[in-house]
Amino acid sequence: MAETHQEQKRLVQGLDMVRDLAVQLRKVLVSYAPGKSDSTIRQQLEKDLFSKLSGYCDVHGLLALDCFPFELRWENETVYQSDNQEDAIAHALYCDGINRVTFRKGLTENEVISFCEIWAKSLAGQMSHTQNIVTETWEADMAHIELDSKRHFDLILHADEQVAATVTQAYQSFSQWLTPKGLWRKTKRQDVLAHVVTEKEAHLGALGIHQLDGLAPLVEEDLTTLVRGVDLPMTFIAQDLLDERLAALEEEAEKNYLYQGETVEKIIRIFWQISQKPQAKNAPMLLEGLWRAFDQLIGMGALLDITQVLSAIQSEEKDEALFSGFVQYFERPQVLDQLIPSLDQTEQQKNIVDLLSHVRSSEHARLFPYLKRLKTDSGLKSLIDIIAAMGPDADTIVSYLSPDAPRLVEILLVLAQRKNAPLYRKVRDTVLNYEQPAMWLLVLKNMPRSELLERKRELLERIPRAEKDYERFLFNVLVNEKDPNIVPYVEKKINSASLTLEERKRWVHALAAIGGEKSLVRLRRILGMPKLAVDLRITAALSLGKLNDEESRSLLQEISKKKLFGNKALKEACLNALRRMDGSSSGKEA
Amino acid sequence: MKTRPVEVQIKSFEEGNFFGRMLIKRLAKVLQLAILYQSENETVKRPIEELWHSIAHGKDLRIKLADGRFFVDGEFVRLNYNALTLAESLKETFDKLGISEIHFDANMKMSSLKDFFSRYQRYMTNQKAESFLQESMESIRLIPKGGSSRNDASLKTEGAPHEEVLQCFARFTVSIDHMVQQTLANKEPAFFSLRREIQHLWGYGLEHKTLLLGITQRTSLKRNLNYYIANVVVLTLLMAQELGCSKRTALYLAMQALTHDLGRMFLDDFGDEQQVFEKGALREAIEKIPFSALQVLIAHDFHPENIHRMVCAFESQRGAAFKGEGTPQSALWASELVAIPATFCRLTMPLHCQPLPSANAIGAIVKYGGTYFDTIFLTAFLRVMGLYPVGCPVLLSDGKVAWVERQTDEPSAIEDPEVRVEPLAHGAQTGEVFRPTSRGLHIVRALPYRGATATRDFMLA
Repeated sequence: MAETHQEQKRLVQGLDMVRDLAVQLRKVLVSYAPGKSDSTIRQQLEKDLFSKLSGYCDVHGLLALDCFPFELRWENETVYQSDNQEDAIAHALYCDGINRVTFRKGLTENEVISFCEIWAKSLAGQMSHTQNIVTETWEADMAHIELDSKRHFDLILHADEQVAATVTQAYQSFSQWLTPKGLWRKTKRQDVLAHVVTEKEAHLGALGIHQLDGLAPLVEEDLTTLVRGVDLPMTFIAQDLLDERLAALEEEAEKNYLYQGETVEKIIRIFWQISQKPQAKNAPMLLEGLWRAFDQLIGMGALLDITQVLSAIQSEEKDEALFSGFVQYFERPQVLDQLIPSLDQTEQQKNIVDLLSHVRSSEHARLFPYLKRLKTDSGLKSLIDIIAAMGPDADTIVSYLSPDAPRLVEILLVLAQRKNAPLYRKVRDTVLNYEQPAMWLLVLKNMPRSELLERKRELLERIPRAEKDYERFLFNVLVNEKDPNIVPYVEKKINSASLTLEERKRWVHALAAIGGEKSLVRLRRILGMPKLAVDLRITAALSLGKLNDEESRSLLQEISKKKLFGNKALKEACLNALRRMDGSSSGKEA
Repeated sequence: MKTRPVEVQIKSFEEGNFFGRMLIKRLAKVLQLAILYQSENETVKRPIEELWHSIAHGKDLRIKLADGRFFVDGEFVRLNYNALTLAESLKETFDKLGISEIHFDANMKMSSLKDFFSRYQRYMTNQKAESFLQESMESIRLIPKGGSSRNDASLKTEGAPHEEVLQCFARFTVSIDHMVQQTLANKEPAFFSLRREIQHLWGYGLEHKTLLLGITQRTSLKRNLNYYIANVVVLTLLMAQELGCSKRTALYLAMQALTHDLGRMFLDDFGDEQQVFEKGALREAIEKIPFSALQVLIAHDFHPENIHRMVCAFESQRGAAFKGEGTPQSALWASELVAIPATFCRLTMPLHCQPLPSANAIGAIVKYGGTYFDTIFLTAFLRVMGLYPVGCPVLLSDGKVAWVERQTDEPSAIEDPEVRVEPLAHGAQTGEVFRPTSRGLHIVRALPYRGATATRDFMLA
């Protein structure tokens, strides 16, 4: 019983620790996503993970996490689970057939980082088609991280039933060579004889074939000379030469693993040259091949190279039609899927913008779905620029609007504003029709001034149903535009008892800002209304002075000369206004 | 009136996978909805139509669940996050129904599909699986679990070490062939599966080098291109181990070895194409890449990664064929390395000419060591193979034929490997294994294989 209790205690304590580790793991993996965190933060996260993970393994010997579609488990207890894609990490392992990940004692920091990089690469969908997490991890040679996975070959067996029979047949044929103990079986008598017989046959006839086959330097004696062991170089005499070769191979493998720019550029150029040949009936097929080469380049992130090769070809090439057919590759969904999310990475942005400029304007609709997927503002801005340059259809923009996606609505409104206003009025109308007051402000913000002034009545009528910001924004615009038609609305605001004094004062300022006879009449009226709050009257007085309204001079003088009655501050304001009017008139005379 | 959907051409791996994922998602979605709604209900009507559009492409379609993974038309569907939830739900449905496969006929009508989902709804309400499976359905067939004709014996993985090595070699050779067949059938070759087998071979190379070498020599007696490729790969891996390469580099070398004769894997007759290349008509335009092979690859929608490999392949071929003057100016060190096992295998296997005895082939290669072949790589090769490789027949000084059983670890004893004499009598037992010098004998020479003399048109490069 005590043991069980002890065991439970251990389990509970361990569970917290492993949960913490799993969360740390998630933090590191997520930090690899573009725009998520800078390298310093990531390095710190990696360090933290390593210290926790290695600390755990040192104490307990190992940590084994079982992989399920959306969760990681330890000792049959869920230690990490996520329902949203941003935080999900387990599915990448599960989809590659991995049942369990085991971290063992002796784990090194490099191992942890490499493994996380591989895992994150898979999460980001950047894994090469010939690799998966299991194969990449094997190649990274991690002595302290083990993956327990389903057999890869079963994929072939399940895919094709005939293969199973072929493998069995091949295995049975091979197993005839060995005894159950693993020793070589005796050779059939006729085979032994056959060798002896052949030994007597001349095989020099083969020389001709070998030479034809490209082994031109072979001569007769090469095939007959008896070689002795002493003739063979069996030891690596020059250790430095061995090291040099080894280093060259390692470097080459590393380069090949990452990216072999020159070779791929070569492929692109070759395809291009072949495609240009008029006799090449199969130009479309070759173009297809060329696109495949692009696929590979994009997969490797060599966008700069593509851009450079393309621009070089474009400048050299006169056949516009061929080039246009050639670059249509960049309209394919699977290419866009790869390219556009990288707009979030500032260093790649320019290259991607260049590549996306090859998408024909008529195909702009293909780019719209990606507006939702970009995470950074700069990425979004780049894409909006690209789409805007294409002169997108108002109908297309409208079709992507959705009352449930305010962010997208905002983006599309920004997009619509860039273009000719009347053409995109439809977009704004659609949003205004949503009856979602929160979105109306977005419409206002992204509405060309001319259109706003033209539609002001309709827009003003929305005020009772709209939010405060909408009203404020609209009036600000109209006031700035000095539109005399809004004077009655402003007056109404000044007289509205529900507003604070400060707000009402602002409206008096607004009235002054509109200017014109209609405003001056209202300002004079305000100044002359004894029942109105004195602060408003002061504001009106100062405004009239500022506007140099000669007609209000008598009223100002009257108020300023009252001896027994009247507010002192108001009188002062009137005097100031008069002084200002005098000052400006003498200034004019001078 | 419904118009017939345009036939979708699954072209590249990503498109293929995209199609598979889409199909799985749509089917799962409809199955989920079909429990709640009648197939004529608007909520489920549209998803059913979408599914029908995905399925009815003028050819039969099979969705198979095996070992927890989905295959659409024999092609593994690599799932992603978005598809996973629905795929898991589809798995559950398959389990509930007790099926492993669904077949949709080429010309399935929309009404048949709707009917299927109506029945499915009835089944889910009544829970009578058997009746559902037994009901005859037009254009749709459900294959119960265990109904597949696959031979499960081949999945056996555990056994004695030598059995595992043999199985791995068998799987590898079949994988190569399968990769080519898949590519030709416009499907996604399971490259990472093939890669995994190479990784297994690396492990066996470390633990059972002698056995693996013996297998290469046995298979080299057969005229089989897959065996040739497998042998070059194995010898390359063993050389990489001898040189002390990292796993990543070894895999890189093995991939180069695997594709060094890529053109041959796709073309039975490479001769004509090769001649076009030789004449130099296209030479300038295509620089170093064998146009013909490239064309074939593209025609069969070969994956770009392997078009790139094609370039490497040609680099390797240059090395292998050691044309030109002096040391070949290969772009890749890998090709310099692969050239040695490739040349050895071409000289000793009955592919398109009478094979040479191993010792003669080694002699020819050694002669060009330092000029056509890199000395360091050649040394690594010789340390792996020895003068008389495991499994090769030799003539002893007493006139008897013996087979090399084991290489000695001591390079100085290269001429004295452990051998076994084969008695010529019927029913004789396996001979004793000994070193010739221990009995006052020595190996006179290696013996050639008496195979069929191939013709030039078999494969020429």
